[in-house]
Amino acid sequence: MDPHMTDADVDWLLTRMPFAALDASQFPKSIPLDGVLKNDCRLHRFAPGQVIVREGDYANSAFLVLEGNAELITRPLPPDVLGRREVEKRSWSDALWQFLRPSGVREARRPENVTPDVELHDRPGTEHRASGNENTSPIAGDADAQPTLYLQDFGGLVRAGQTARLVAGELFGEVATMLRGPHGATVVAGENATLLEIRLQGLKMLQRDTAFAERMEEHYRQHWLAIHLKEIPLLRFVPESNLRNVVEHTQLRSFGRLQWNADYSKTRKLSPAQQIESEPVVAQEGHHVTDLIVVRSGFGRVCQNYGSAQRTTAYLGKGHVFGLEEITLSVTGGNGAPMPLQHSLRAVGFLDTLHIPVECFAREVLPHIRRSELPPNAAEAMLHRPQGPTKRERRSVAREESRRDDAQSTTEETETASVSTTAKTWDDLPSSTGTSFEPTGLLEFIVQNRYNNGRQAMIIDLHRCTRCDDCVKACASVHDGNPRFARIGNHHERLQFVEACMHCTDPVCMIGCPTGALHRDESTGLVNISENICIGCGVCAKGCPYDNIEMVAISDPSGRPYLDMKSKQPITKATKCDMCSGLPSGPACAAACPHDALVRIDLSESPPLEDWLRRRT
Amino acid sequence: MSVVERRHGGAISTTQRCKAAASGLVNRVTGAGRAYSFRRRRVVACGVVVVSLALAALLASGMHAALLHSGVMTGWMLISCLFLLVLIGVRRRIPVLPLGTMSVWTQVHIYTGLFAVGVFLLHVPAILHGRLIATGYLEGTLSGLFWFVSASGVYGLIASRRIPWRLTNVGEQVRLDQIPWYREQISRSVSDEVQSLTNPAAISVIGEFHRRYLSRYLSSKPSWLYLIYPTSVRRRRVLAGLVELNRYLEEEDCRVCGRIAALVRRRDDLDYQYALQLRLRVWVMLHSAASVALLVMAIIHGILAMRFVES
Repeated sequence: MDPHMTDADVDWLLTRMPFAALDASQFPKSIPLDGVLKNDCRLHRFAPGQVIVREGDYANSAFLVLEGNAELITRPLPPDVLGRREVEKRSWSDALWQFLRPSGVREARRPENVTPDVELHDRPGTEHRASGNENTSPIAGDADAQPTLYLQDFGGLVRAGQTARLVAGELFGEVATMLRGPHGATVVAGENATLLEIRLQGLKMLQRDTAFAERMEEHYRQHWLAIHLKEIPLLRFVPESNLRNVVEHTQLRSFGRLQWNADYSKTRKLSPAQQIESEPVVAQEGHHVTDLIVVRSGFGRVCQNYGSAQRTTAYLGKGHVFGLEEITLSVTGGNGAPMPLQHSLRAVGFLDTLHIPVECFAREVLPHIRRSELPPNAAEAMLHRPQGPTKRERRSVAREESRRDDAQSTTEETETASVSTTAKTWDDLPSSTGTSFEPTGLLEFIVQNRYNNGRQAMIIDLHRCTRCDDCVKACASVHDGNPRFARIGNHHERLQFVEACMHCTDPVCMIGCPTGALHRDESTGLVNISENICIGCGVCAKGCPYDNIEMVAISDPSGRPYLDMKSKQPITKATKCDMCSGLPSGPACAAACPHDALVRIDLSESPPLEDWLRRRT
Repeated sequence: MSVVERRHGGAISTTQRCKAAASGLVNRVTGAGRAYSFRRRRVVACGVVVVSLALAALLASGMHAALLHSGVMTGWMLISCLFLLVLIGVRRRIPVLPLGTMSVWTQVHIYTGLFAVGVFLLHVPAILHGRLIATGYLEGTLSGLFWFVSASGVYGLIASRRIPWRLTNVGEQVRLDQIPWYREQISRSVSDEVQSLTNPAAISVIGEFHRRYLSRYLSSKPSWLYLIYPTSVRRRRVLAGLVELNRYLEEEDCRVCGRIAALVRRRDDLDYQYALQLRLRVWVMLHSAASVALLVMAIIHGILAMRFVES
């Protein structure tokens, strides 16, 4: 991580807590403790007021305060304070005026869109301590030195009591790093702040020390687990007292590799069978169900044995649960015997899960789940529990029975349903032309290419698309002549998955953005670029596994390229699809398609795509 | 015996089976039973057009009975429809404004066009008496142009549904503007294959074939005839020629021939894509140009007709 991290720095760190308390014998010989500190950590000295992490940033590192202090800002800061420029909705007259007066220059920007509203300073460089010498000396010519931000009126915030002090020995940012989530708050350096940046790989390695791992887990359990459990829709009606018991009994597990994007280009070339085989098993089909599995982050593949292989039946994302039907049927008595798992769950790349034991789930959670939220079989089983339904449930049973009688008496309807079921069954079979919608194949294609990461994926139905390129032309028209996508991309049968920003659930492009220019809009969920603070480093473009971010050299409206003052090189900025968020009309590409061929769709779960496909008959 | 018992016993009468099948067929055709589908949209829109036309016909016959100029009413209807039909082009060129999606505009365009054809039949009663084109230079041209635009619209509707399906089945999805570049790449690849031959016999056999047929086929653009009606005749002839060469070649050189044949197939696929994509674009151009001409002529006709009516 830091080529300038010396043995003296490592020795000094080993005298400080918590590293002094770590048991070096618990680390393998190939990756010793000092090796982890040397290769996966970096020392920083921050000036007072300098921003260490920004709220909303997706980071790859946690920070440990070694000396001095840091201040955590307890209230959300306006985006402009952090240099970000929110996308303003333009009025239709403005939009029309701009449309009628294009600059005619490729990637033209006004000066105010190139320079930041806040002051960016070059980070003074990594500072190191010589062994036995407390003096620090900045390293000249630090290759990784990147502009950093100073918070204006930082003293005022501290005086107003809107900060919480983090002192030596305290770790922050580890939950966001481990769960691949955004930082919940901005942290600013206080007096004499010396911090150790520990990147994810290092953090994982340090957890080989049992005491360190237990301390981290305890911290998460105390401060974060209840919040994360409450965010799960299924648990939203669980009372506080029950939730406390759930927090106590829940186990935290991780499967696969967090940097799934690094292996993405290799794994996507494997056949579905090979890929399924290579994925770590979280829960095995046919096994006794012991826990309700909740996806905390990452992706899971639900599959079922079929012949001598496995076929994908669904995919899971953040907040989804696995094993609910089996648990409910087992708990409610079903046919008297506990129901084994009907599917397997596998980690696609990386999967972080919460495991709620069956007994705890049945006691604390199940009574507070709405029946409509349970799978149909489980909901029916709930109505016929062995101990007899409650007064309210008796009404439901009566209603259910009367509904069933009605259903039996209407001959035509049932017969029609039977005919339509037969038709649907035939629809699922691959046609001789290979163009019918085949659910397993489509699911496997989506998981294989990780399109299930997309929340605004662009899909084109090739059976309706006349290749007129009106979508690209519309995109270019509303972006001053610069289209933000081309009509290219992988296709599965009749669906083409276009290479346009999908505003992903797990936005790996945002990890490592040095100025926080790439950020997620809280209200819309879109991943936006604040061009004024984008320094054109290209980390996002390299990080995007789908190649949906492009670095472009920018010019002023008269066509003269902007040049960097120091290097005299053209200034580049990251560009990608912004869902036309500034326009009154919404995404121009989808609105411009005359044949209903193009759609922006959430692929993080399958129902929206199924509904869209069902409409196309 | 209850329905369930009867079903379990397999004792469902033929009448019930027929009823269920008919009901299923109706559902499939109309898209009933679903919240929304293209089929349902089509059925509802056609229904609206039929009802509107019936009302227009009723109104026209009422006016005719009252000795009023029903032609004026249908004329105004037609010109309004024409304006609405042409507006889709304006919407297409202004993507920044929230004017509704192009998909909605296209649906309105299709069914307004259909309605306009019905109103045109009411407006020009001579057509109902067997004369497709009205008499007189202006009116004759106008009615001819109207039929041309209507026919091209119907063709466009069919083409825009069928051609994408055919394009998808070709396999590789190529953009029209990139096709010349791909053609050049294929031509270069074939030349490289021929250049890489080391066996003198193969150089003479494949080299001659390349010189006489392949290079001409690969460097030329598809003919006009092919663009109008793409066929696989040329590809089949070239491939047959290549297969014929195999008997004069050794095994290794036959493999080169096979690779060249694959490139020829790819080139033919590109030409096919080019012909179909070009057809769609030329159709849009012709249809929109003819529509504008029709609108202009309709306005002139309207002005003249109104002068006559007033006089």
